[in-house]
Amino acid sequence: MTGTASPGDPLGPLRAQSTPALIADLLRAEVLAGTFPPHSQLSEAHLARQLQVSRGPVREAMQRLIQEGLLRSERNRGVFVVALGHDDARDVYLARGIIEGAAAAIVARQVPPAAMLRLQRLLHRLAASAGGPWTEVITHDLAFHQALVDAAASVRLSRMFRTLVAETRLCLLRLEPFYRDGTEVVAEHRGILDALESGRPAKAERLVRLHMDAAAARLAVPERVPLSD
Amino acid sequence: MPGDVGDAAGRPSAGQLAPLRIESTPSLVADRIRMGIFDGTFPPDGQLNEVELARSLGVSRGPIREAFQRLIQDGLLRSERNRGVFVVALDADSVQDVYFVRSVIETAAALRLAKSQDAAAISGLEQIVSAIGRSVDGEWSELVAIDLEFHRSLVAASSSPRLIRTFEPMYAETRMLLAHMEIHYERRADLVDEHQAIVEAIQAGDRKLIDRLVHGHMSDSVAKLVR
Repeated sequence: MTGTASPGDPLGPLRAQSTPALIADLLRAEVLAGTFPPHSQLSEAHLARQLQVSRGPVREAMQRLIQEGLLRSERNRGVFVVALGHDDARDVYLARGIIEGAAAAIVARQVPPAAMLRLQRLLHRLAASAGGPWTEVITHDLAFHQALVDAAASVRLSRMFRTLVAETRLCLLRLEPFYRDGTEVVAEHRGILDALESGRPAKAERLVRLHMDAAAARLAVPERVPLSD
Repeated sequence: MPGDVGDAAGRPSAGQLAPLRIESTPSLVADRIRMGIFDGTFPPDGQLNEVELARSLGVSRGPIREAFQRLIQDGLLRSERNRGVFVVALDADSVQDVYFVRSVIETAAALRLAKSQDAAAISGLEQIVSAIGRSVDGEWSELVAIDLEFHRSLVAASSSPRLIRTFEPMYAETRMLLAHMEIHYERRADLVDEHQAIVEAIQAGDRKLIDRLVHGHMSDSVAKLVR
């Protein structure tokens, strides 16, 4: 859980983070960076050799990414990088709308001061990044949504959101053509934050859903954004 | 994508053997431990012994460790540094949280079903309500299993792979919880009526009523939990 060394253990813990978690982080980064393209196969034995670990933790790490929806397992064939289709993109935004809509309603009811400050700060960062590299805009965008869900103080809602982050990133990478200067992104988030600050749960929830529907609709334009090959 | 060993459903082409459908050892081990948690063999806060489990299940320690990792991810086990792996004991806040999140997911699923009016899914739910009716006088553990089957089917009817996926840990936590606690009903038959009312609201497409009934069903459950 924590990375601190316990007393009487001068070398510190052997694994600050579990090996499967470390491998999962590494594989996730590679998939999101496109090093492992959609449909490519991942070999457990090969990865274990490369990373100089046994196959158990590699299998476990793959299992996590399967749960996150970045890899899929095909019986008797192996493990592959997913190619998100239009149905997947729609489903990601549907699930996020439900999770984040519920979170927004709670936050608007409670308006927790520390969380509101944090959201304001994150919105500033998002605004400052608009027009710059798209991957940075994406990072700030996701940080805002993560903070929104966390502000609802539901361990399980936050956990559910985290399982959707990686897939969301894959979707967002394809949304660039629709947000050339990023001002639209900022405006949508600004609207949500205003509704939260003014303590209007129904409006906050509705705006979150609209924000998700808008993203899903943009992703659904087939000739302009080929989602999978 | 179909492979070269038969079609997508796993049926072999002529002259070929059907592919073996063997689950990996870690996932089989995880299932066994999960069942043990659900049926009370492994009580809350109880420690799990890797060596003993490996011996009793007749497997090596690697798959046991992997199964532990999976169940930690699912929120059923927790690992304490230098001490070992324990069954999670859900405190009052966690119980609230489980039911809150379930009401969010299940309300959304019920609203989607109200819109699609998927006849097969609705009749499936009706059958489960009848089964609940038949088991109200039986064992609590059986009633729990059937009751939760209703909720699982409701979420499955959303036909959203991601909602279904995110519901699984909530399902597991609820089963774990109800292995050691009962929901106290003055009349257990009320359980039939509550589920029946949800199905009828879905059929009527009454969004407000669905919202109220599902949330009510959940908060009612939390309020009536007794050890």
